[in-house]
Amino acid sequence: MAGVLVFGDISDGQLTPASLEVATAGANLASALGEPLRGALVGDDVAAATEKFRGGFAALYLVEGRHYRPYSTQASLAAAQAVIAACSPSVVLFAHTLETREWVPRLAARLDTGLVMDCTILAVEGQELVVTKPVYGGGVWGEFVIRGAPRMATVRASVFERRQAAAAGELVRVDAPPPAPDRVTYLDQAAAVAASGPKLKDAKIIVAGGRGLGGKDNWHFVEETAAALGAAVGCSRPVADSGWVPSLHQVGLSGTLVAPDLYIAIGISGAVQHLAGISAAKTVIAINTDHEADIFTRANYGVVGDCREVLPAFLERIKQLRS
Amino acid sequence: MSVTVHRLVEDGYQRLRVELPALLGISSEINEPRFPPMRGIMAAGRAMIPGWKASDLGVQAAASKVELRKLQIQLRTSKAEFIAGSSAAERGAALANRLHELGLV
Repeated sequence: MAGVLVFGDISDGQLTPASLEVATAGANLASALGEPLRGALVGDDVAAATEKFRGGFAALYLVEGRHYRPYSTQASLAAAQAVIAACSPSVVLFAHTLETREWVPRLAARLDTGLVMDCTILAVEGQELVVTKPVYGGGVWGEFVIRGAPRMATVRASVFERRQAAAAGELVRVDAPPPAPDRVTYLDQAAAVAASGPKLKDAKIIVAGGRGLGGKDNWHFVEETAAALGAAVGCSRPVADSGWVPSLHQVGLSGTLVAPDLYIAIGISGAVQHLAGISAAKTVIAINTDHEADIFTRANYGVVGDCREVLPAFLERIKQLRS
Repeated sequence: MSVTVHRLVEDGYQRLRVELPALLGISSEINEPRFPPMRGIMAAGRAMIPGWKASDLGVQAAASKVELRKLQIQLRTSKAEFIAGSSAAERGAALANRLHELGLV
């Protein structure tokens, strides 16, 4: 039993950026353990993803077939079990996604092995795998030792650097048995509302509003600021729950985890769950009437004041600076 | 027999059909809880709620493969650089200058 195995993810035929982040986490562990690093891809068409992913693995295992699209729990389980049986790794890593959250715990139960999900730190102590993840809404960090064979973990997005291409190893095709019929049928997926502007998850600039705006009537301040900066629109949980904007705009532990270069928080107090959602943001600006608000412990720059006075002046000056 | 469910995802929702029996995880977005009638509240106060131990159910917990070693509160000690200005509008303009200087807008 040896080696660190990293499962990449394919979305719309393309390798996801998170796959390269998990590869970095895997490479660090493999190096610390002194064991080989291997990768795996599962999909109905893995060609494009293979080219992007294969660098730096001693071997890349491929499971390809029509069973793997659309996503099904049973197909993912069958494929993963087949790859794990083929290479007997001591550690298996996955990106933490909506899908892996659902099927990887079932894999752990089947293999009767340890799993910790949504890890932000993975380390080796002696030969033990020790991981850290946010718990209790994100304000507390839990450190866990994972045992079993293989030890498994899912890795939070936007925490690790994306792995740069290195020399590629061999490609190994694995035949997985046809999956058991799934009791869940995926019917369709709809956008709640066609959101204008960039998607939150990928946005470089996000302008988000919270309860401090006072009411839905003031939401236009957020939209105008976002429009001026070419930003995506975000919101805190109370705003989504109150129905000011559709919940697809929600940033936070139970909304979207974002990783923009610039995050402007307007009238957001900075609850722990919201801060968890923006932990990967590079520069955070907070505008709030309360100079004691928790958001200011996370923000790089703060403006104390009523956003209805701050923002028009802010936007006017931006316009002047651009001309 | 099956049920059709909606599940919220990042940028919308999925529709899925699941065969019964099924275990469903319900999210708070599903509805506004109703307020129980006074009679129900009083009945709940008088209710006898059984308590079971694992041995009562004839089960034994399996040895855990995951060990919690430490819990740590993240202490936030850093503070933002507050933009100066004698009015909210002045601070707004000063913020624009600062972000422009930093090449962020």
